[in-house]
Amino acid sequence: MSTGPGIPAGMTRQSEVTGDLHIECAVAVVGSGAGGATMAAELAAAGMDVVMVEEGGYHPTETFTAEAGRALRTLYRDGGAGFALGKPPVLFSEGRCVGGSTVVNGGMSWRTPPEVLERWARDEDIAEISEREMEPYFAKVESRLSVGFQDPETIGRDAQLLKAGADARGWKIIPNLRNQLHCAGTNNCTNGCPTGAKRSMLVTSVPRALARGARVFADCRAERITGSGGAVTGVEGRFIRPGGRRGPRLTVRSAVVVAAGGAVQTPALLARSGLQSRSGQLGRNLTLHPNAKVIAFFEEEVTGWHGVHQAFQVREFMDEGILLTAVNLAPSLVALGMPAHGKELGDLMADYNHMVTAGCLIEDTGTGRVRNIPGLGPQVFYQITDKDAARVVRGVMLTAEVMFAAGARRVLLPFSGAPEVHNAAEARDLLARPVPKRSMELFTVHLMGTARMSENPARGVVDSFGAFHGVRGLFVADASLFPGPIGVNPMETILGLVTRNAQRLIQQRDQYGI
Amino acid sequence: MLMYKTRVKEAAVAQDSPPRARLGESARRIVARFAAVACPPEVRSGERTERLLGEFELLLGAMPAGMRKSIPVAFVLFDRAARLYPPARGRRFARLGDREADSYLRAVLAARRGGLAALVRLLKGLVVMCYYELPEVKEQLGYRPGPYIAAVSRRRLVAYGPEIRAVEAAVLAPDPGSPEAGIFPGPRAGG
Repeated sequence: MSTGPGIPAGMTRQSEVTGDLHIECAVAVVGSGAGGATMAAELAAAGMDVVMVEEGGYHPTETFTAEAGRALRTLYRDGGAGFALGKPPVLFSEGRCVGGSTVVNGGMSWRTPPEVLERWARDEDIAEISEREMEPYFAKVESRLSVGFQDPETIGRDAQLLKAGADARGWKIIPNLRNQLHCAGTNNCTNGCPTGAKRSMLVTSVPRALARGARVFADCRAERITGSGGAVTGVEGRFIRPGGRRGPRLTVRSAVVVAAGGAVQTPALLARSGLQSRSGQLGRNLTLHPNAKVIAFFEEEVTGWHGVHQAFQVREFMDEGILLTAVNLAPSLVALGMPAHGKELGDLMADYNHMVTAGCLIEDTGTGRVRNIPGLGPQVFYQITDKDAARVVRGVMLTAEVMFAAGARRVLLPFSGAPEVHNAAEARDLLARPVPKRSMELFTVHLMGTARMSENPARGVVDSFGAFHGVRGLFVADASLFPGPIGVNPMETILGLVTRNAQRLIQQRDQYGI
Repeated sequence: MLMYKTRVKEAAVAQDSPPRARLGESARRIVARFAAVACPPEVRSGERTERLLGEFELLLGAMPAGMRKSIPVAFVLFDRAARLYPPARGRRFARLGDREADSYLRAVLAARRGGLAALVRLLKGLVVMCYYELPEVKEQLGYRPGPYIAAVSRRRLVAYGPEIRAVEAAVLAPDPGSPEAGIFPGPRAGG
């Protein structure tokens, strides 16, 4: 039972470090999210000496509250305010804490669609990635993370309305699979699960790795990967003091380095370490599943914050690369995007408990890139294509339609300057007209593809198992690996791939002397 | 609350946000005036504006250095640019009456130059976000997650406690057949 907030053995935070540290280990893992923590736990379980370097802080379950602002400041990179520059800019958020984005995501756990795996195998000649070959890895992570359907008592009214709307339209809608252990339905996923029911890396793979002797250095930014003679030799970082001040140095010497900072930070770290890919793809090939949301107002009280974060997904339009869902947001995050101010904003927000926030996720066809800009750090550039913009418009129209089918009285659209609509026909008429890209309010939490896998070094940054082409001992273990978008939530794909890649590394450990 | 029986070093856990980024006096006045126009009229009651500014400084403190510096500058530019807005008759935004300030904000948000409108939309979004983080504002909306979370958390433990404890304990339990080379032990290759 809990003895109150404490620091697990093996965890070191900046406040406990007074001088430069020099560490030796077998494997240094940069990042403690879905990829990093999974890799660390697998390797530690195999008896390897593993060190995790995590830029964010250690925030245990007991510290999580429903204050969205506080969560943004403590659990997210840059207060949750990342921007992919383009017209329109795409707002994105990444976790930055021990456990990474799994601490603040919605916990959707879907296997990679088989057709995506087939495409990757075909286009990039990736080995051992068929549905059959991936099955044991997915089964393993699903077992470890308690992936399953929600208990019925936790399904909120907003989700029921989404289902009612989809049923009325005759659309395919399925219950969500989530990594949750009898989720209580607190609707607090994005602020950190206050019960630990969401089986994030914070409460699964990180403690599992620590229990097997791994060490975690939190509040420590990996500045560069070091190397010599075509092989890695470790990681150099700096502890971050309050206010962003640079603290003592951390120098890790290791035969293997695993970069798992996510699709923005990983290519940035590799690039500032002077590592180049013959493919020219490092930092390129970024896809991000653009999301757009509508706000639907109902006569009845919905109280969308009662019940699980996301209970269903409308899968009717997957062939078009469009997925629909309902996700409740805290008042402050709803207000952030409201097309009103002053009294008008107050009047809209007064109906907060009558709102359903629903949205569409687009499987994008365009790509962007991540670049290190001197003085600014990693910057993301992404220009939505005409095809994807058309998908956004269609996705928004379908989302409005499902909300009206569920009984919504009016719907606000995510296009600046667009009037509210009062029925599906009105939405269709409005959206039949051209919608300027610059008016679109887009958001994402799925960034992928910036160090893509390919057996062909001329096409990919890493090989079929995440090993960096041409640099011995360097591996990538996060969504950067994806050769393309997957159309569903990416966490389980990361977990499955990294579990598979860890197994490969374990089999080859003698090659690296680890 | 269930927790892992791991080895624990008793120590205070850092729960603090990054330190707030203090706005200069001038920027602070502008943001306060901006809040009075962008937020619902109730922002003027009590000390809400002051506490909103506190939230805003905390949020700014969590942002990257570039944004931390450029957002106050953007507010100052927004303030000064009001002089070019004819109905302002040469006054800065912070000196405009309510009606003129509202119409200036409306005009900028509707600007044809998408970049300018997008920037001011962002500023507005950040300010109103901070307003709706104030506890009494959430209370007014009927958003009371604390008691709800406590109630459903209790319900969970009552209904599923033994299973939850077993699964949580398994996280730290040795793997089957350990010491092992992963869950799928196989021949070590290459060595």
